[in-house]
Amino acid sequence: MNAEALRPWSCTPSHVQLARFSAATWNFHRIHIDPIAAAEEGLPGPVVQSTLFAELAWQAVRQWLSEASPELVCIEWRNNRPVSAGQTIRWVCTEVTREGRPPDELVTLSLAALLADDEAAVAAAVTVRASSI
Amino acid sequence: MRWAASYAAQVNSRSDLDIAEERARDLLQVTEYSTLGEVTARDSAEFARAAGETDPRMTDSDSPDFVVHPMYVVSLLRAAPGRVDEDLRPDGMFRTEVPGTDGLAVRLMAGGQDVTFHRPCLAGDYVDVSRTLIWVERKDGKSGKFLLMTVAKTYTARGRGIIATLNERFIVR
Repeated sequence: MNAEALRPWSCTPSHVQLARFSAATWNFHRIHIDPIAAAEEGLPGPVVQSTLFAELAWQAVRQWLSEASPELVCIEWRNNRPVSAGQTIRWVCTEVTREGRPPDELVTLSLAALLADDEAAVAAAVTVRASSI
Repeated sequence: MRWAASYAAQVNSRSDLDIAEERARDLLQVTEYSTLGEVTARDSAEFARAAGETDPRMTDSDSPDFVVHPMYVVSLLRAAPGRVDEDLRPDGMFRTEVPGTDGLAVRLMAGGQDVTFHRPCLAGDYVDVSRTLIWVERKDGKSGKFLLMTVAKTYTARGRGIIATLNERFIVR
């Protein structure tokens, strides 16, 4: 498996999704659901929750490993810039690395969440157990 | 008594960011404990659907193959809260979510996390959480001064062991 062979996966979190996700996680931070509060903090609109980025990164990885049921070992991400509801995020795999030996070998897929200007809003890395893919 | 007036002026000129930093440094390595309560298949399934999941093993709580979404418990800010209004800042964040910021006019943003999964969370697990502020750093950026804080958390299923450990980064302006 190499990064270049993995096609970008896109998603577009909606206002409704952000509101629903906030409800499901007991996250009442108004920047995710209230356009006025978001504007007061200098944001163009309600922004995607940090942990939602992680879920989307995990979904992207599972799209790329669609033939398997990968076991999630680690996930890490860094939020570089906010993403507003309605913006399309294009997840690309930038690198695939392996470490360890079977049966404990791990595979890490590094991802970038690109916006329309090709700037990376989020950098993430998802590690799965190689034996599960 | 000019020194007293000068000292008072310096103290009074402390910004809320200064106060947040001072409080946070006092809280370094202090561990707090809380509980998320019982994890239910219904709530986990709703979380999965809200995240845009399509795998019925995570979105259908009646599925015989149902599994709790691995990110569910680590994404929860709280269990079902009781006195919600009293627990919240005006911006909607929980008052205790970012250590040292309660009552201060500072802006809070999430910087990201790194999460390690130790064992699957099961529907019916009763999950406890420990939180420790492990890092506070003051920085200068293009938009002005800000604090970087890192909180370490451990999620444990009673009777079964650790589900996940993570470090979570906050930006305070």
